[in-house]
Amino acid sequence: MFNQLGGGTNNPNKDVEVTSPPDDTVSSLEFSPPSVPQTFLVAGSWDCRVRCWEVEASGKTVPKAAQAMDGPILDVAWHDDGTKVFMASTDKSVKCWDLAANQCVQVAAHDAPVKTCHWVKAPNYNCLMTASWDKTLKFWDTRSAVPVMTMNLSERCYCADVDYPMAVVGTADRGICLYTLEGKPAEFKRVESPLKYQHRCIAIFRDKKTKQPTGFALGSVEGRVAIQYVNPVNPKDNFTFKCHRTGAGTTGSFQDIYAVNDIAFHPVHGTLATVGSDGSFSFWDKDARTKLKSSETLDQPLTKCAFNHSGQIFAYAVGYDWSKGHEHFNPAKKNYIFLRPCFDDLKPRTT
Amino acid sequence: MVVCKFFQQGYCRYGQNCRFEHIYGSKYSYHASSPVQTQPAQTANICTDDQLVNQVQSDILAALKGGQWILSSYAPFKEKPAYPGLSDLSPEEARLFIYEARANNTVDQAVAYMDNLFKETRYKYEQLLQPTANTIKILRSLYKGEVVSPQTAAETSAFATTNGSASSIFRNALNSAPVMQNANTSIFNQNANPSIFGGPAQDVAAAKSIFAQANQATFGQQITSSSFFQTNPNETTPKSLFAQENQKLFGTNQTTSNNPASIFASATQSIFGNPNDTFGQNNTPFQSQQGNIFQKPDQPKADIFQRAEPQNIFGMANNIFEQKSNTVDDNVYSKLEELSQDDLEAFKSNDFKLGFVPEVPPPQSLCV
Repeated sequence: MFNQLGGGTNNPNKDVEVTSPPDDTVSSLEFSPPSVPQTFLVAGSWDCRVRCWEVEASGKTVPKAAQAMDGPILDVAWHDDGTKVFMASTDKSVKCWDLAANQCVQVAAHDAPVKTCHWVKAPNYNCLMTASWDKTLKFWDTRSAVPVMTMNLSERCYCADVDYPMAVVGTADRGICLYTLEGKPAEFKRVESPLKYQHRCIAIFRDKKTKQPTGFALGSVEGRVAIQYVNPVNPKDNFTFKCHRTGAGTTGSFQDIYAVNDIAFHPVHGTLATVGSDGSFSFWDKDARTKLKSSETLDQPLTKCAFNHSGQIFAYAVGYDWSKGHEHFNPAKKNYIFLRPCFDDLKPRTT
Repeated sequence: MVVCKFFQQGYCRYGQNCRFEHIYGSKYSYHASSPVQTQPAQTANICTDDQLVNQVQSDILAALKGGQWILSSYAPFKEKPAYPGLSDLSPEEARLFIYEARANNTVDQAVAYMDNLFKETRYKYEQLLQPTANTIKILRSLYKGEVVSPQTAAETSAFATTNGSASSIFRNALNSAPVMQNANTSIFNQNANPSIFGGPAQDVAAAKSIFAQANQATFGQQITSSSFFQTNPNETTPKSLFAQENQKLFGTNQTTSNNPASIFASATQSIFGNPNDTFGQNNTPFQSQQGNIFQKPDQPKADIFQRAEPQNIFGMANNIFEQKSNTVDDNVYSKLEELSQDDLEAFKSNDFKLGFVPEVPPPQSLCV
């Protein structure tokens, strides 16, 4: 009872609410890179907007600017210098938003909605990687209207991640493809999916010692995450675990199964967070194979999550994710983004 | 006695208890791929058919009862191919489909379409709960790591009603919904009228061709991939946020572009411009347009954030394209006399019917 006084069903975890949230579901959420002294949060949403807030040390958020595109936003990415934000839209284009000038320039185009965009910073080149439902992966010099490289995907892109020198793309019909970005982008290998159902989100993790990317976590609509190493030392290093399910009750009854909507790795601890259609987030230690924390459940799905670069802040977005179809969409329902201090919660299990 | 055809295929579930005759080396040769040819299929394989079937049944029951997103592919076995005829459609694709339909006033059709797709997929899943001999055969192939094409499955199985084609139909539908793609590039904004006749074919084609011309006109010599990855583009060391480096960032390495410096050099203002300017008199910085969540992008939005409409490369080059667009027009539009009666009627009506959207561009006379 007492708890509910504080947060209510909208905010049962009593986290800090970001002011002036988007008018429709958040599809993408990214904190500014370490090159910027302040902390900015950028969110793209289904109302065709991308918004930028400054997050003060107190947790107070100040809306800074917003931009619109011609279709709902599917992804956003920061330039490594922190002065620009890339926005991928269902209008088949990607625009570069120069925050200082508050101006946008189209930097990429596809034949279908663009599902993901990532900024690639290599020692010998910089480029923008975009992947689309047109079944292509393209690399762009943002100064040219033609891609510097185009690669075919086996299917429509559903999720992608980049951590130089590694990139990974998850596609429809359970495709996974790894890319190496060293020298220039090239396909590295296609991987058989460890999951049985539709891929939904993917995140690269690093080796604890070398700090180099060494594998990825893949989430599916079946409430399951796979931890997969590129070159597993032992085949048993790869495993999958269930998450975002409820009602595990008695034998013979069935669990409610929810999609894993996003996965993010903690930049310092290497532990991970998952958010799901069930309206909860969980923190995990993949090495100890344990759950570190699970949140209270909200009354709407969580669609996206992100850590800031220092790993102090965990942000998660709340809104309808279409997981129950159009008839469960209530446009009047408010969308939220919450922030919470997370550094201690994500410390790995001490052994 | 009747010869057991499942035994010949190597998949008979009943073994010695089978009602039908198990014959080796008849004119129907014994197909089991097991190394031990003389053993019945059941014991020869590591995993029995019952195990395969049970595995699939428990998966499907959990998925259906658990209420998970079912417009999904399904692979009965880890790291093995997916079951044929079930393909992925993400929640985002379904959502966009409805949003686009809303912009086109075809929500009812789109909703009916989606409902049907859900129903069809659910039916396919339910079929897997009562596996036929053919289902088992497919499962066996998948277990061995063989890809089974939907066609193969369709040939023998009742399961394969509209296998696989469902999602491709959907994709067509998705593509044929013009909606917000109207302004693919900013070039297009000039002649993007709110008419629904911005048919997909014309739209895409025109956008592309103009874009291609834009490449050449605006950027002149294109940067080839090889030179791109070898060059060391001016490393800009990360400075304080919003440092005024636009010229450097964009200006370098451009060989014969149309004076790019002037495009980007203009007005590099302080962070986010003057705060008063942007947020000024308004208490709620992000003006909400609740009620009309999905505004048509073509219409100018009375929104504070819209004010500084970005001028980009493509926009700056207006006159180039305006000239070109005249010449393009002839190819872009259909000639009135070439249109079939059906198409013409579709163009003349106030809205398109799903499934009856013309595949040819509209005539110019109907586009003004």
